[in-house]
Amino acid sequence: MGNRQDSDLYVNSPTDNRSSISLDLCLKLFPLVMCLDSDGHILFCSERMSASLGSPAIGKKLFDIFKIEGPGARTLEDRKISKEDIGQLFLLSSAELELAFRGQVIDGMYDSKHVFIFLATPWLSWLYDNVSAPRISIGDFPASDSQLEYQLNLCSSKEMLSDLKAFSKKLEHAREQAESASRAKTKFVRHISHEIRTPLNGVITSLKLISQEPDESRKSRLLEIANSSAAALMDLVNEVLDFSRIEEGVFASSKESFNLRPMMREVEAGLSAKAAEKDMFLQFDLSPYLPTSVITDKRSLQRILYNLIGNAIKYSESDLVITRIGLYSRNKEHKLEIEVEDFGIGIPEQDVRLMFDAFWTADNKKSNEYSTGLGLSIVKEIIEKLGGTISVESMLGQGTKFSFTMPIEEPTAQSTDTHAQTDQPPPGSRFHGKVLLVDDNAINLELAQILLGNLGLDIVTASDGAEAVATEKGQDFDLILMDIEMPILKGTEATVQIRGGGRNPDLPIVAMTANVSSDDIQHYITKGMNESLTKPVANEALVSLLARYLPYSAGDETNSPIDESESEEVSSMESLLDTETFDSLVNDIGSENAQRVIGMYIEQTSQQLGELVDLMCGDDLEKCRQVSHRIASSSLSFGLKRLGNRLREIEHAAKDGRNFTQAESDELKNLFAESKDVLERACGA
Amino acid sequence: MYGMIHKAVRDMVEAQFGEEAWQKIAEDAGVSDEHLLSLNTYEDQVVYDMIGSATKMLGLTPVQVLEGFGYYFVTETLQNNYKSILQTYGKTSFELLENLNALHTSIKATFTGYKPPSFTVTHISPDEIDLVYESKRAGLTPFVRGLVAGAAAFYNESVSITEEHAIDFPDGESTRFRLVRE
Repeated sequence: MGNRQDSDLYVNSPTDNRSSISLDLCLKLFPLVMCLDSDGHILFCSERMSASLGSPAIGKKLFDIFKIEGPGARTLEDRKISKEDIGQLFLLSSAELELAFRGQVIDGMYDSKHVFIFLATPWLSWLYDNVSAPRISIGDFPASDSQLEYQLNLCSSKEMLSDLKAFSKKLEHAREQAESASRAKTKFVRHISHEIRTPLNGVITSLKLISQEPDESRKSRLLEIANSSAAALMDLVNEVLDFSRIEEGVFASSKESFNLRPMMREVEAGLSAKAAEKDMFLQFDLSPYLPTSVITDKRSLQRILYNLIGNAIKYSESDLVITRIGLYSRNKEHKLEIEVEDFGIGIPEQDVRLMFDAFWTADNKKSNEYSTGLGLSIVKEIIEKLGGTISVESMLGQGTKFSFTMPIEEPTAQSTDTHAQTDQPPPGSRFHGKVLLVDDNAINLELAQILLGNLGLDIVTASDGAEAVATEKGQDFDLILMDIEMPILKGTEATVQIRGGGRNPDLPIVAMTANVSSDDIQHYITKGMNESLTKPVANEALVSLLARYLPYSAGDETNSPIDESESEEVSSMESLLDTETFDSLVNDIGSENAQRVIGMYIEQTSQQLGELVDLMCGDDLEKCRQVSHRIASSSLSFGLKRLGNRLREIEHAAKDGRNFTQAESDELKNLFAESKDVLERACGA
Repeated sequence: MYGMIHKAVRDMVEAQFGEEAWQKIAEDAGVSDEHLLSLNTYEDQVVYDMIGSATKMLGLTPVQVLEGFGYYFVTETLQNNYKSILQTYGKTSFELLENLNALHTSIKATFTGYKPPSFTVTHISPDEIDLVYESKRAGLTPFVRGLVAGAAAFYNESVSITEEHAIDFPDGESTRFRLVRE
């Protein structure tokens, strides 16, 4: 079927017999066949061709039905089929019929005449480009047509290309990750070597100097440096090991039932000294809806909190760090929602997304802080392994907030026995240690002394700040409980002197005061106090505080709860006396002690109140403030709430420079008389 | 077997059970991204391992996995990438099944290492055919059942498929199906 060179091929010439290809043979090889004369008139269509065209086509001109897209660029007007067309690829299309054919023209015989025979197949590429659902079927193709195979090749090549692109993208991503990990590890080795060298120097230099140092006290100081440097080294190495374990997938979580509040107090106690060093206040807001005890991985939760709050202390330069704990509970899903927020320098946007990457460290890191850059990475891994999530928001100059969730289980009734689970000492526990108790109010001093004595402690008292400083110098104490508002020397100033010259850095000094606003507490901490205990002191809060600083041993419960019928009688004393406070006091110190101390209170307060009434009518408002403060404090300790609150109002009014009327002082006298009466009755009951 | 089969298994698992489920199956079956190149050929064992792992991880029977996969293969994989080929080889599910051997011959003429199964159709009535499936691979009859159901869905037809019986076929598997168009 190649190009014929014969110049004397005559189409429509019945006398020319040189064409040898019969129509029958063509029909066996090709389903779509038509015979044409040299003007393009359709003389014959095969059955499938007729079906494809849809309407009778015999006699019509091929060029009127189809656009000739090949061969060449001939126009329809001069369109005639000639011997030059034989062997060439013909491309025909009809947008109207949604048909397109490709094929060859050969010379053949039809009805004893020489004709051109068009051997066609569907033109797939045109059809797929122009028709949404081509009207073709496998029967339209000659068996040898390779178009379907090309089509198959095209589809699969497209798919393969897309696979290779996806694969290449993944490889590229893996390469970037590998390179980034490699860079990070190189950076880590450099960084950790530097971090290790500093405490290592501390150890080596101290030990070297000890051998040459004759002075014992300096030797001891050098040993301290060596010890603290070695401890820092150990922390660094432990962090690296933890990270490595987590990376290897060796992480064992251990769930237990525990009480959230004491756990938070432990965290607070563990970090408060560091916060105080930086004049920073740690605030903990716990939702009232939190269950008393929960089941989760306590150790991990503590570790996460230590890390996040510790980072805020180290790096944020904020003066306040707030930790909020809330509860999410829906259907059977329970989780803690925890935020740790500081209001410090913030983190640049480009660093926020890198913060959880291993070996990332803040650029603002202080040179004297050791850091592996693994802490946040470890935190994230632990949270995710426990089924939680963590995120961070930060604004430069405004602060940073970490939010994370931790799934919990609510304990079953059996597991809510918090005695065994919490770190609160069991009732009747005995503490060991020597406590310096400082208060200018003899009643408060007596009350606290009884409470502490009942708990097994060795107590030394001082009645003002100056006495406290002098007493501390001569003896070793394990804890100082310090009132703030005192004559001669205030508690805060006494603390400054006790810690002066770097002395007593580890001696806990706790403010005992009624002034517990966050500003007040922050002020105490900046002065070197560890934390504060609210007055009037509740036994439970005192025990919980002591447990943070002093060793204790479990003992028998010696205090029996007050008889409820008694408290019902006392409740008739209405609003003058807070029976809960009173009962609790009697319960804590015993009724005999209570009677004695109440006697002391009535005697001293009667005298002091007389003084106060005179002061209210005079000009010495500062003295008036001091006396009202003193009486208010002890009155509230016994639950005399109306009297205590009125005295507080007088204290604040005096502070603001307001004068008092005679009626006000008379009213106060009456209130004291009523309160005294109620107290004596309650005590007698 | 070609990588496109592996890829189709992955696509099905990810679409129906999530990416994490696929990661677990891939890890269990020892399948990596290198096994997901459509035109690469791999040992048949790879796909058997994948089906085995999917069965284990998804808590389904092998028949459920294979049948689901056959259906997914036609209605998603072929529908998305080879729709024109399906349309050319059949205007109905019966016609496609009749022309499957021709399609497989074309594929074999194009690609190397292709070992297609055989499908023989015998017309019982205009809406009822016998389909005899023969393959050198064992255990894939449920896959064929899914393929046939997928083909019916592709052409929007309702076809009931009855597995008549297994036919003795040395070193492989053969099954006769009765298909009735409703």
